[in-house]
Amino acid sequence: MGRLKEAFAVDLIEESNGRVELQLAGDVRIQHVEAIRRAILEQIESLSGSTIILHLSRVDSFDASGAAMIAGFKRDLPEVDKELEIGEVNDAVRPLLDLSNFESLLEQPEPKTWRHRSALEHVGEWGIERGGDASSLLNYVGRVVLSLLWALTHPHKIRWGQVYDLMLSTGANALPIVGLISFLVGLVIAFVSAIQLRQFGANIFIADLIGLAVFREMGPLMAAIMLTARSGSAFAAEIGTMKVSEEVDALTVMGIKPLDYLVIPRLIAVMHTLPLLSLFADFFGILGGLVVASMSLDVSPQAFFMQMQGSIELWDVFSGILKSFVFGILIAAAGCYHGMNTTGGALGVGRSTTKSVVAGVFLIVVADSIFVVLFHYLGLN
Amino acid sequence: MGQGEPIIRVRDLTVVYGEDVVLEDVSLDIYPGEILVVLGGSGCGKSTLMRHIIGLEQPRRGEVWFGDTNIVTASQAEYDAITRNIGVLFQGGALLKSMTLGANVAMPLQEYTNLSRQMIRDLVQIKLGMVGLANRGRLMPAEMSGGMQKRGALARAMALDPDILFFDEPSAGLDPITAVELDELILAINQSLHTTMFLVTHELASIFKIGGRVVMLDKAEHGIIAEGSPEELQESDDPRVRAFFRRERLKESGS
Ligand SMILES: Nc1ncnc2c1ncn2[C@@H]1O[C@H](COP(=O)(O)OP(=O)(O)OP(=O)(O)O)[C@@H](O)[C@H]1O
Ligand SMILES: [Mg+2]
Repeated sequence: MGRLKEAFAVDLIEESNGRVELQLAGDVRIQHVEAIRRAILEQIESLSGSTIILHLSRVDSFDASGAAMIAGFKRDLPEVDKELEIGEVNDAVRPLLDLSNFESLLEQPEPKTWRHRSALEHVGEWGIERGGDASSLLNYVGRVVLSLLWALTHPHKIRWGQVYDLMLSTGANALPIVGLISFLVGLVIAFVSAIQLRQFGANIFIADLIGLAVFREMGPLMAAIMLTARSGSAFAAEIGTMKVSEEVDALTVMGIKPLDYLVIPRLIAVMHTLPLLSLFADFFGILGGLVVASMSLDVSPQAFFMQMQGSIELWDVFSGILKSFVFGILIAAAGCYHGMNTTGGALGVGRSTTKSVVAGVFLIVVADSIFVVLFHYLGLN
Repeated sequence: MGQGEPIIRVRDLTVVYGEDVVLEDVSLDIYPGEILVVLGGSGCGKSTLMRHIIGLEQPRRGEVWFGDTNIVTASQAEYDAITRNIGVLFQGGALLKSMTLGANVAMPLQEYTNLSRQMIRDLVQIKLGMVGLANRGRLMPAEMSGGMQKRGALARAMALDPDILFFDEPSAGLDPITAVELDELILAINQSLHTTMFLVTHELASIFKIGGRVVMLDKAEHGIIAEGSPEELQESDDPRVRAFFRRERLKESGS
């Protein structure tokens, strides 16, 4: 065990009637500590003594991992009926051993939350939490809608300045991306359908198909999903940041209800912008379909629109707008809900943002399914 | 220091988070015009006590009386009437980041009064001047240093000339000189406007500078373990109180 090639050494200096004296020398640092620990354990196991005295007077450098190793020996050796004592100590070691009571730290029972839990327990807990989340989110949507109704009957109490700013950021600024996405989605749907239609020589029906799909479903859905991603998440992040920096509390003690100041303007703004965005998405979706129709199906634009006029009713357009109106409320409420329930600093804001997008998309799809079933039973299609 | 009827009476306030008892049966009187300093180690429930007194959270049990109104059970209208007369300086300032300093200070004025725009603008100027931020109303909070944000938040808290000001660690995170300036400002406001003050801190320098009545909270006791002037507490027989003063002194001379 030459000190020259090893950074450390564990030497036996004496063994007599049950006492073993070991000398630890060299660099006791985190790079070597595992090797040192094994070397000491080897010595201890190969000898029969039950009291191990560890001298530290030749140690050159010593860090917290060394202290943790010693504390670990003190804790674990009694299980094999041995004990560790510290022998001579030099100035490289003493301050760290004195600084904090490593032994008592290691002896403390681990906090409850570190308890090992089975996978089943995790799944159960997850389910219960999600269930709780969902029901309180729905609860919140309900409360928000009631406040919204109240606000709409007291329009002078609404902060219109904020509403206009929010309309700009949630609506006007979203136009380019909503237009582009809708155009591409219209294009894709038309392409996929074109393959089938051409086989039957039913090229002209591309107009009916695109018209129905876009006005009824794709337009409102694309606009709503873009709004969730752009604005629902922004609401959660903005309000969440205000929550964790106590700005929401500051509003409360200034006599301003966070619901009125932060939530209602966002709801009103989105309620107006999403139906408009959805009309905009309709337009570009149709345009995408038209491009495919005239380029690969030989349907002229005139024929396309004539055909579409015959098959699309006002209700098809209107039902899409009606849906967007409801989607808007759901998206804004989900964003604000997760924002208002943010805890735990910057990390919490990120978590809320993610949750708001997931919740927003989920609510949209569920609401859309409900609409489809509802319209069907009301004979509205 | 107690003069006349208490302005706030806290009775048997008990706060439980999950299964952790933070405060248990805390009772406390705050008298008009005094500076009440709440002291205690980190995590002992000082901010929690303040947040419950100003009605931001619901306690498990207990009452907080502002005159004849219990804030725990107050209606929205009653709560508004109470908050009209209090100002709060939060630990991080909590200026609204989306608007200028001036708009922040103007906010309570717009909310609670029907003063003219010009009048509000003038008042904002005066309040900003009081905290040494005259003509800085155009700045956004992000463009201000930590100390400026705290002072700006103090201007906002004082906008309505409240009867009671609450401070959560006003000098936390400030350098010693700025901290002393803020303490002096607090003292000056108390002396010139006779504003009652509830001040959470654990800086010994502040405590001795500001004086007043000190109550000390303890984590293990879930409540108040000592009460008196700073000098009295320093000489206290209670080892926990003495230990706190000694440790803080050590920390101050060490840094
Ligand atoms: N919303 C909460 N949910 C759960 N526990 C909380 C909550 N707020 C505070 N606590 C707990 O209550 C205790 C007291 O917290 P509090 O913030 O009042 O301490 P403090 O005395 O203000 O400390 P500091 O001096 O560090 O600000 C802490 O143990 C904290 O973990
Ligand atoms: Mg605190």
